Amino acid sequence: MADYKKVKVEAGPSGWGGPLEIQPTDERKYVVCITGGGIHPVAQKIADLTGAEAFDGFKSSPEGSFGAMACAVIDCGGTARIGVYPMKGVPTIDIHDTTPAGPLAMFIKEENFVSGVSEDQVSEA
Amino acid sequence: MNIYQSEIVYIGEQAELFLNEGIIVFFGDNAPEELQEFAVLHKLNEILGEIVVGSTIELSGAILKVTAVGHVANENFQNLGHLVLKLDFATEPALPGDVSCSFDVKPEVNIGDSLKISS
Repeated sequence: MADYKKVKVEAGPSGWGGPLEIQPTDERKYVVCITGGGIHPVAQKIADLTGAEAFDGFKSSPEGSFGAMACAVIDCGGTARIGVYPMKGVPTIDIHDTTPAGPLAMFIKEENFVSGVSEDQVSEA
Repeated sequence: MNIYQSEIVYIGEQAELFLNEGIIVFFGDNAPEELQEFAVLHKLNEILGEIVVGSTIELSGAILKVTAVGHVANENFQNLGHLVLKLDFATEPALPGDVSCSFDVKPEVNIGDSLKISS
């Protein structure tokens, strides 16, 4: 059984939501990055601090799908991904400055979503 | 100039949630399964340029004119084949990922339809 550490992720200066505490578990052990172009530094830092595995969610889906995600790191422009992961119960971190919008806005809460995040907003909890 | 040419290969079960609000959420056909459910997928081809205000999008036989482009829209398109098309005539993008359009006839999107973007 792996010993994962907890991290705190806060909203950036122009961001919204959070702070979130990300605690990977044996079941939710992937920091999934859905930004294209590999693992974003924010996802890498969360993985490094927690001891969880950074996973390029655009190349493949982790075994267990949403249920295996400790959190999702996205670069959503405000409409789609911003809602999909919160709707499926995955704490969601957007590197862009977004606020709840789109048809799935009702699923986006301060408890499951934080935006405007850079590496500076990720710290040990 | 031709920027992009492709065809629609899949329409997710939940894509309607967005379509009903005049939003077409495109992803390339390499998108992760989790997102396919909400998206309209196009066969990912080479992207030859940037979408700008005034670009023309031919979708399912309808002609759309781009009226606004959010500042992360082209980056999303290049990286993920991801395009959020809003049929809302907006001249200011409401959200950073938006590509807003004007239209005469609203496109009815079906599998096999063509998607063509030109500047």
